[in-house]
Amino acid sequence: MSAHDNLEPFIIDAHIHLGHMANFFMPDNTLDRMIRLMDRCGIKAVCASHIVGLMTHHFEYAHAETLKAVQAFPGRIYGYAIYNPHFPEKSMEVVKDHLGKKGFIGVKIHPAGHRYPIDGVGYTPLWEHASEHGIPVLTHTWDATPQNTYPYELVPAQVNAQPKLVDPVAERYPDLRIIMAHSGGHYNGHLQAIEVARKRKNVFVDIAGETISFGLIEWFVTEIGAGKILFGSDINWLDPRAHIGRVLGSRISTADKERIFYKNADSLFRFS
Amino acid sequence: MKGYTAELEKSFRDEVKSLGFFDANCWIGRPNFPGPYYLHGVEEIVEHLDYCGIERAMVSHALARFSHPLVGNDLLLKAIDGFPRLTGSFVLLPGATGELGSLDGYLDSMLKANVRAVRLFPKSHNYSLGDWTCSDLLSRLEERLLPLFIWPRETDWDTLYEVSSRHARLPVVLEQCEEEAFWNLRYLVPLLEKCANVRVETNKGHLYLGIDEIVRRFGAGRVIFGSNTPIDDPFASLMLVTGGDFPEDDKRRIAHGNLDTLRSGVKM
Repeated sequence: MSAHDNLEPFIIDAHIHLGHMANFFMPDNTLDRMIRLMDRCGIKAVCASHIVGLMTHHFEYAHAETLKAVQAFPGRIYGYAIYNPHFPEKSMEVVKDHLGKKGFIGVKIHPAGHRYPIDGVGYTPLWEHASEHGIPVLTHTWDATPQNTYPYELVPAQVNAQPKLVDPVAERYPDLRIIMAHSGGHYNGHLQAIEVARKRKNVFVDIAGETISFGLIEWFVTEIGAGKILFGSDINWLDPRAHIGRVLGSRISTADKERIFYKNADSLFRFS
Repeated sequence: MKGYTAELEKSFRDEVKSLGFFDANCWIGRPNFPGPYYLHGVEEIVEHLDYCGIERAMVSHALARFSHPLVGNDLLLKAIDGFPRLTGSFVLLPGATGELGSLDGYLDSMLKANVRAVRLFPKSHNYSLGDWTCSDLLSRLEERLLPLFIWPRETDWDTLYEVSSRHARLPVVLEQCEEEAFWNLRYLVPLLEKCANVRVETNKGHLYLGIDEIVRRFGAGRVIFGSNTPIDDPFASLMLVTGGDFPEDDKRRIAHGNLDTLRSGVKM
């Protein structure tokens, strides 16, 4: 990226992670290395949730680690509080506490990691609080039967994270702003995500994840408009350069690329 | 807040052009699963390569995977005839069932058509990559130094290790198509360490810092640019190379040099 090393970072990455995953090796997994990479590829700020809070029930540890990261790099690393529907009272207490701390900008939920459906009653305390206080919620979404693999594979835990489950929540809480992470994951999930995002003005998507299907960004811009799409990379699972390349290379206008790279996130999270 | 999208895009595209990319992983024909858009004709693919700034591509035909290698390979040669920027990559089968006729005869005709790389799909085509079924084919590929492109999900890591170590002169290129991006480093790193003939291709190589890590540990000579166009978006792989944390010469080797070297090393 030598030719643009001198550009001032401007991209807002609305979806990254901290911590380790048990089932794969994450090279050079330190905050310093991440900040160097952000500088190198033009990312001004990232919004982070800790993997331990998403994949286990140790949410206190996850929040403490996120807070450390936010405090270590103010203005570069922002934090998501994580809500766990299996522990509604305790989890809500931790979420409220952290949303009061500087640098926490929203709430992340992971219905697949927590094995709990998006439209289940365990999430009600979160929807009510976030709706009342204007706090954006980023939810993992995916398709239970991704069809761009051959032969097709069933991913049972992802049943809880299907984008179509966002629809009744978005309808019941019209002031709640929900971001569907990964735009639904794979093709069938993309179809659901498009349907929900077109129907509900309070529903957005991000482009984070391992799916890099040909034409995906153009398709979403055509179907739901660039104003509803956020840039996300899934650092430290995945490399932001792949997703920056996809946006830069897509056959959409520069104005739409700017919306995706930072304008939508800036408006949703009110950084400016 | 001010953005620099246009400047970033310009420098990205300039860098792509300057590196002379040769895409090892392109397909013509319709993929067998749904997606937002399809490019399937050779003219469409070439137009998109132009749009991306990719100079050359090695192409296979979808029907060689989803119907039969004889069908797809034949259609491939007809389709790319007259497109000097495109070169073919054949899908093969092991010899036991005799479906390709004489293996030597088939390989000779393949080389005459300037096809200098092959792909195998053991899982999709329902056979084992192990030596008990594939030794005849793998030995012939090894004798000719013909690069074998294979997806780990089409076999298993133990078999990949056995085959790569037993056929130590066979160039093996792993492609992560239809799989989580490089999430297999706990398999991949020891395989690259133990088998100098194994390389990786960049498609779905967007595990966080994954390509940088492979180049750091094993050198740029072990990485080959490929995009899985038009199933995946080539701009993802392109920026992993242009934006890589390694010197310009290494980027050039990954962009085209390593594939050119493999292809020129094939014994005709």
